Amino acid sequence: MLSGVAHELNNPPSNISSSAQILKEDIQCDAEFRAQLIADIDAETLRARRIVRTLLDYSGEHANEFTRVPLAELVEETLRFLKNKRPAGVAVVLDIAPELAVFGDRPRLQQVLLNLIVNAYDAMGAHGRLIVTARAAIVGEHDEHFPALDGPCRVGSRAVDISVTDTGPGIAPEIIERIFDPFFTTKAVGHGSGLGLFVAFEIIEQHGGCMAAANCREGGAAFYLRLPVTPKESP
Amino acid sequence: MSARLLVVDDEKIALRNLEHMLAKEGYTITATQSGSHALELLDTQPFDLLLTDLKMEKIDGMQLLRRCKRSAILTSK
Repeated sequence: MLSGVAHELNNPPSNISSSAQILKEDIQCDAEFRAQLIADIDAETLRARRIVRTLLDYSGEHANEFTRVPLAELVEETLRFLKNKRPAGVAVVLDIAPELAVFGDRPRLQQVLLNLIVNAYDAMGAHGRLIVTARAAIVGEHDEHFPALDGPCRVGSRAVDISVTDTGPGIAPEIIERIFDPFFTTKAVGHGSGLGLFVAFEIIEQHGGCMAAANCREGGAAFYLRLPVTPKESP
Repeated sequence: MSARLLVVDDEKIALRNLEHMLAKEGYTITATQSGSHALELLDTQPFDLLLTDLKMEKIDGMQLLRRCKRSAILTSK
């Protein structure tokens, strides 16, 4: 992941530098183009600041900061961070309406997505399909993916249901009950801490959401997340 | 005739800036954000030089370079 983040972090200063260079050397350029270059410098500065803040959030103690988090943008950024980890034969399919947002701590929610997507890539190996979807939902309606509903989601509250599905071998039935347990891993020694899904589960619970795992009928594993939409909806 | 350059970068701003700078130097630029589109262009149009980002989704820069090397796609002057 580190090389993906480094690449991502390298892009904004390069774009700022080249835009500034054009402004410096070609000051007579078209006014509209000049305005676009300045707007890009501004936007890329903010982009770099957000990436650095994300890194700082991961590096140490972090107090949750709950805000409105647009989902499509978060998922797309997470996929970019993991660009180098995605096997060439794995296709990514996104089905997330651009206006969908949840109420949560952005870096923590990104941590959940990172853990789930890394697991999916590892499970699929060289070929497969990662599908990430999100839909608006009302707790209590269409709860089939959350059979236990033991999270603090309140019936009748507005939520967003997210699914992360892969086309790997799925989860062995005998371990499905334990996959969210701390230090439980099926990966080889040195390749998994056994904390990824545990941490993801804890984060979703802290957000007043629910999380569940299942095998898809057509093969592969699916992880379902339900998150509140507004502060009122969270506990 | 000016040299024909194919410039590939999935970063929109980087691509636009590179295109602007190189065109100003008098090169004939074809620019694309997609590695697979670059492959199509390499198959259908003559280029003198490929300038590519390495880390891109799907078809990355190394794959483009290997393809050029294997098929001797670029024109030799």
